Amino acid sequence: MNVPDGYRMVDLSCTTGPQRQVVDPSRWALEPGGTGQCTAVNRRMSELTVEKLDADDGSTLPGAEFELYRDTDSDGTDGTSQDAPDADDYRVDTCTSGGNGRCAIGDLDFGDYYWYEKSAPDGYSLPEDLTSDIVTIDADNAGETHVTTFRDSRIPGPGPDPTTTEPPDPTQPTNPTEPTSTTGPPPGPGPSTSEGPDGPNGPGGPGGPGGAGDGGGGGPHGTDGDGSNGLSDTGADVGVPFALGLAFLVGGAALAALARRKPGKS
Amino acid sequence: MTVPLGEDVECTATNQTADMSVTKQVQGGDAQPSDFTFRLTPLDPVPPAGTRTTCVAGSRRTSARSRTTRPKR
Repeated sequence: MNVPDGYRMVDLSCTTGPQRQVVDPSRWALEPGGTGQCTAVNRRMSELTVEKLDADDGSTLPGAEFELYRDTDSDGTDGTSQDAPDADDYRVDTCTSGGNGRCAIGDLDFGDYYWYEKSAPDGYSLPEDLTSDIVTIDADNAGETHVTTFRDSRIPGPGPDPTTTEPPDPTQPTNPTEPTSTTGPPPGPGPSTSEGPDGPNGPGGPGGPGGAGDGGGGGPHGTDGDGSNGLSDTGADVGVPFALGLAFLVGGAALAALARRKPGKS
Repeated sequence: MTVPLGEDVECTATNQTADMSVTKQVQGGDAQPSDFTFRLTPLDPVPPAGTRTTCVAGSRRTSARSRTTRPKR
């Protein structure tokens, strides 16, 4: 039997004889002189399409997985819940949305169908209602386009990962501009001489006994250490006179010794 | 059959056919019953002058597409 594209024979029933006795077409043979009447029913098959969109900007989303169910008990909208398909409904097939956000399931007979969104694309959350409204295919709309749309919201992200964020590229420094004048700025208030500053004045020693000096130490003067003698330091060096005195004593003793030896020799 | 000596035998051969009709129903879409074609094919062995394979276009009316066919042997 030749069948146009998109049609499928869904029923073949036969009768025989004037009483129209029902026979099984697969096991039926006409008697000589007999008559037979058959009725073949062909239906236009249909295709259902589901579309996945971003709830915010309406862009198409690939990667959403859907299941198509047939409401086998024909209980209409009461046959679906928001969370999951009815247990007594028949799962026809599954499909995953492609680059255009759509996928389709074809070769569908008349009946009541609904979509169930099984998983959302990466980065998106499932809608509150996971099942679509019922889509009824009958003789009036068979072969027409049927599109059901689901809209998913984007899952808010935690922001960029600081450990993986690339630092910005350094910018090329600009070339310095040539000065417009060769004259430099006036000299600043630097030191007028190369000498260092004067040291602080030392503390004055205590006044000496009797009529000793004035006790007022004019700077720059150091102290004599602990200042226990109570005299101010004159600054004279006592080492040289002491050495001269000692030499004088040694020399005198040597002359006295020579003078005592001379009478003994004579 | 064996004919005895001196006997006359008269035979009558009667060829019979059967009649078959198909009604086509189309549900949905734009196709018409006539877009569908039925093919009636007799089972082997087919007699030399017997009915051959016949193609019949579909129709909504039962009587319109009736065809004779070889009956059960």
